[in-house]
Amino acid sequence: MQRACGNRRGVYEVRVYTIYEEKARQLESGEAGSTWEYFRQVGVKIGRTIFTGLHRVNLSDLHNPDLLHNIYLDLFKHMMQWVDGFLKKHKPQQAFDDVAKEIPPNPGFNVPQKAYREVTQWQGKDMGNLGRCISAVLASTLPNPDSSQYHDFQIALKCVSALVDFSLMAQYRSHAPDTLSYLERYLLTFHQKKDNFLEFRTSKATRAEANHQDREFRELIANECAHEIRRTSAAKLRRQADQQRLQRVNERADLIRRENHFNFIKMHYLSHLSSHVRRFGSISMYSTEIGEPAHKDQIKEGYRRSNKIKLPARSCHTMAASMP
Amino acid sequence: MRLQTLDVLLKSENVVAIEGTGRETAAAPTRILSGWMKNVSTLAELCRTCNINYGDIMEEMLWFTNQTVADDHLLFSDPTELGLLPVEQFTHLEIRVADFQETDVFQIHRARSTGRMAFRSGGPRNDCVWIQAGGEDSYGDLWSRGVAQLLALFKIRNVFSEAAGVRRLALLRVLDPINSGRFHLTSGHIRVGKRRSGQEMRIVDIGTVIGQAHVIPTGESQWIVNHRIDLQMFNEIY
Repeated sequence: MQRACGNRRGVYEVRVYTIYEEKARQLESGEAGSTWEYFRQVGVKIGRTIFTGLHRVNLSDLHNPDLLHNIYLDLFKHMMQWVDGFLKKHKPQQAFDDVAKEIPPNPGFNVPQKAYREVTQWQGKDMGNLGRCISAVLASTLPNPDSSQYHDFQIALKCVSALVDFSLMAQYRSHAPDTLSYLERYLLTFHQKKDNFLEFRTSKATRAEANHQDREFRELIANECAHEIRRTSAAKLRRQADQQRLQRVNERADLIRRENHFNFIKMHYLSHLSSHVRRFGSISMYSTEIGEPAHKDQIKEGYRRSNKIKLPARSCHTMAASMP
Repeated sequence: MRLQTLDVLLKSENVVAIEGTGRETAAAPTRILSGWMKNVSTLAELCRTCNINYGDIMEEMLWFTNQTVADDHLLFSDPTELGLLPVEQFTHLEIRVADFQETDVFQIHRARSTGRMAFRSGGPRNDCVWIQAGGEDSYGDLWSRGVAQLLALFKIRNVFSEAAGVRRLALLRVLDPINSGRFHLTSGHIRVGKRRSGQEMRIVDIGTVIGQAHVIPTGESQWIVNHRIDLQMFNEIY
């Protein structure tokens, strides 16, 4: 069986499980040698878990894809942070808010009541809704980009559209080989284009490091200039200052580009979705999107109606009574 | 179309098999006019509530009658009769649309057209809808679907002729697909815009309206068709 694994940039390579099995056998037979080192390098933890020895249980199959938590509440949230950063950089934030406010209603679609930047808390349903219109809203926000923005806008739109298409395709209740190939193609497009948003994936640590580097560079320049300032003309000083500023900005951009990455678990997990469909059926069957609202009817409603005495029994009774 | 189940494709013929009898019957009506409006009883009053020129609507009615209705079922024999025919106006059209990859589950699209009246203490609401237009190869990637804005929904009855009966009609402002309905290269969306030449308004039978469209305004007199709004549209337009 082959799976994919990601490096720091999220370019997924094929991971061969048979090698792991062979190494694990070596480990069991006492030929440890460099096996521990090998597993450490590839990032695999070896040891007994609660599932070890259970018949027909494969650890890697235990995690089921979840549209609500994996895509809506996590990836869409990440995507919106990147889009927000992108809009801030190119300054059409107000236009985005204006378009988002004018979205017309549609069956099964909740029209947002507030502008995007006014919303403080996003629920899974809101994110799902936003995913269904974000691509068109973004396209409407950037209708006629100038030549300097054209390339960036095009790539950003393709990236966002690919992720939205992937999420929609993942919602299909039944699949055919064609639809699975579409699913994989959308994911590939997303991975190919997502580097456009890399600069908006800056963590606090990276930002602090960039600031530190910036400060050190300024101090160095200031020391150098202190010796030369008396012998140099004002025009030359200005030219030097411009060059130094450019150098500083470039170095900061290099550092951020070097340190930022898309290597997080939920990003990687998307690559397993198509194989999951092939083995276990459609993804929407496993989504907690259905179970979470059911909690409201089954537990909360029962709690509200009860006299708060013998709660579990009361809740079960209410639930049984509401069943057809 | 990427994927449909066999049951869904059978259902699109609007025929439902009756279990155990081996017979087939037409499905339940899929278009219902609702929200009857008071104070509208003639075409002139309809024009006033919707802020439409009476001459335009007369012209459209004549065009519609000549195009669609057989001679023995003409809505009116003399155009002057048209102004006298009783009319009822409605605020919304319920369209039954089969849910994606489902056989017995339907969504009700409620396309609203309130004319100049406010909708739920907001502004007037005149939704955009999909209309069936032409053969399969027309309208590019929209696959024979056109986008139009509802201007009025009404029922007109010919009291002078029994055969003509009642017609349930929709007055639409047709939006033309830009770039022949092909996807825009930069944005990856299909755009529609106001018609620049020819007749902008059209009267059609409500059966021509096949669902509610989701379009987002962009630029001047242009809209982006949001085909990612539901799985059905996403499956059909790509």
